[in-house]
Amino acid sequence: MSSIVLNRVTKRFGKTVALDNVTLEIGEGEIFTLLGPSGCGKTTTLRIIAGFELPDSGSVYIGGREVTYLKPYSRNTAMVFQNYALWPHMRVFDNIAYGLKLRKVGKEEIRRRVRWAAELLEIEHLLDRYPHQLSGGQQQRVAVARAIVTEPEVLLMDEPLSNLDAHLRLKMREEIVRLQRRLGVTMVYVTHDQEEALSISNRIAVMNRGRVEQVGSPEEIYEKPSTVFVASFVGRSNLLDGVIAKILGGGLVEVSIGRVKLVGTAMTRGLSEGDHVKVVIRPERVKLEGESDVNVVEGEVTLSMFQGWKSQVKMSADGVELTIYTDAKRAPHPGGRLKAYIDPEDVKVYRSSEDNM
Amino acid sequence: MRLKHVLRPAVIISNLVAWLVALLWLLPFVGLFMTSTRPFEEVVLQGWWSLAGNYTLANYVEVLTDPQYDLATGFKNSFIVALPSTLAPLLIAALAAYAFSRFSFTMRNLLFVTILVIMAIPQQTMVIPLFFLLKSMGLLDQLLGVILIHSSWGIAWITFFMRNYFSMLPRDVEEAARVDGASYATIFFRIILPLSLPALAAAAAIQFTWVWADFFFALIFLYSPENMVITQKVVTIKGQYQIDWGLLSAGSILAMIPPVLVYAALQKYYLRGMAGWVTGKG
Repeated sequence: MSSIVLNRVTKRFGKTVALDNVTLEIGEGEIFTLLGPSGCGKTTTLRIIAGFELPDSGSVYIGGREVTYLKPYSRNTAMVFQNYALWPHMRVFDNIAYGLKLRKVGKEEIRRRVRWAAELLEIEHLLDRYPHQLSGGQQQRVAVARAIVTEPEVLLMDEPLSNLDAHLRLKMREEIVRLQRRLGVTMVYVTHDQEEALSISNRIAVMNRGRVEQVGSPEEIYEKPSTVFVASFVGRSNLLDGVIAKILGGGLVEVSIGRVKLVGTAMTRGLSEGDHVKVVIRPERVKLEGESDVNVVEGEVTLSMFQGWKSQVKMSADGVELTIYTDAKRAPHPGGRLKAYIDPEDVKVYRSSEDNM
Repeated sequence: MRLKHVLRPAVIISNLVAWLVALLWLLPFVGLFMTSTRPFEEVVLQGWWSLAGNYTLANYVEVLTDPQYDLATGFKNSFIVALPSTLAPLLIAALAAYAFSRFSFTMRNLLFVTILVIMAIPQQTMVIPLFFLLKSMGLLDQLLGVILIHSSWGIAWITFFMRNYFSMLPRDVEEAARVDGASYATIFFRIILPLSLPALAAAAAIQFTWVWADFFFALIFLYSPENMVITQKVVTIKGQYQIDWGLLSAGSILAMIPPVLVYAALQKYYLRGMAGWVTGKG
């Protein structure tokens, strides 16, 4: 089990900068997720750790040893691919055993370890089948078994669940976490699914355009997004344009959003009056009841959509559109008037820049 | 639903066109076959298209048993030429194609374009230099000489064909093997080649047929009766003063059998090789 360090890694493909000076420290035995939209560099990062790509500059360490230019197999990593990448002409047993065969492990030992991996993934009954005789979920299990059978120090997962249907995805998600706990292996997990990232990770790196926007625990990423990009990519957000009306001290600022004024928390340092800002408000943090007289917004309900345990309500207050998640049972009807209460802590204010979307 | 689909005008028209083309292609063969099963007089007097008359296998028996035609030697020589001229270029071209599709090296594109250009050269323009080349190598009127020429001809197009197929194979299948410690050679022989059986089979069928059916190179480079291949032997059935069409047709049909068998044997792969990679199917 090893820690992984990427030190100022840059990678270009032609003129495109895939990774721009990326530095990451991944702790021993943690589930570390690289999260971001497609083209953000998360897969390239994973492939550099695996050794499929060489960085143009910077270095990579696994377990304290520099591996930047080492061949993939001498890094003691294993990878689970998005499309499983099973060898279609080999039976499940041989797919799992192949890495051990190449390592010249004895026959008995191979059989023992394949059985061990197959039991962990609950696929003992499939060992004689060919990949095309398996369902997507079963193929996924074989791919994971193949990866862990060589007992790697680092397990690399490239969007392993993205080809499964929603129900199976939730189930495999749990199993992967359980498996990782059991093996104690360091896992680097690539996904574009923010919910998946939040639920399985010890820590998350949110990436955008080849750069790391924020590294933190799922709670930090969700509660204290350090950039507008992180706030809008992780979870749902109301993204509003505003201008700083007043600096209140204690990290609080007053923002005018159209004719609505809100007190919010400054997330960017050095904001001053008149600055253009982005305001981020999580829909589930807007309450429909309250006693406070700060940040009370009154408006008309324009839309109410039932979504099971919650309802999505849209309101318009003096031209400002706000999306709210609320208890489905108490959802107001369209056309009615509504009072919304927002804690200043939940109104996050960032400086506008070209990078904000 | 199903019937509706079948009756759609587009479906009907495309089926009609397909059948029409197939019939046109089949027509010469039908003519050949009819001729081969009729006595000489009937062929000459009635033509092959009249269905009335006598059907007989006499032509086949005669062409196989009469020592002056000596088809057996032709078959033997054709096999000696066609088998190595199929297998050797297949292996060499697959290796080359893999390099072209996976590695970057100096002048890769230039080399590949050169291969394409070579494919476009008509054989007729090459035949005189090749004649002198074989002569100086002492390989004129030798089966080995023809084998070498067919092999080098085959390497070009099979490299092109296999490279396109390899480019369609998903890379992660190879990368999965690389993480496990497989060398490039291991990946090629244990992963790539087994996954490419359809394409290899298709290339083998085409190359075998091509070499088997060759008359031009054989005509120029092989001239002793004991070295002639089947296509040359069939021509000798045509006598100097009169042509027994029945005999000639029977010989032609016999000569056709091996490539047809090769196609039949490889057909299952052949279609898949032409269609390309299908995920999850091996």
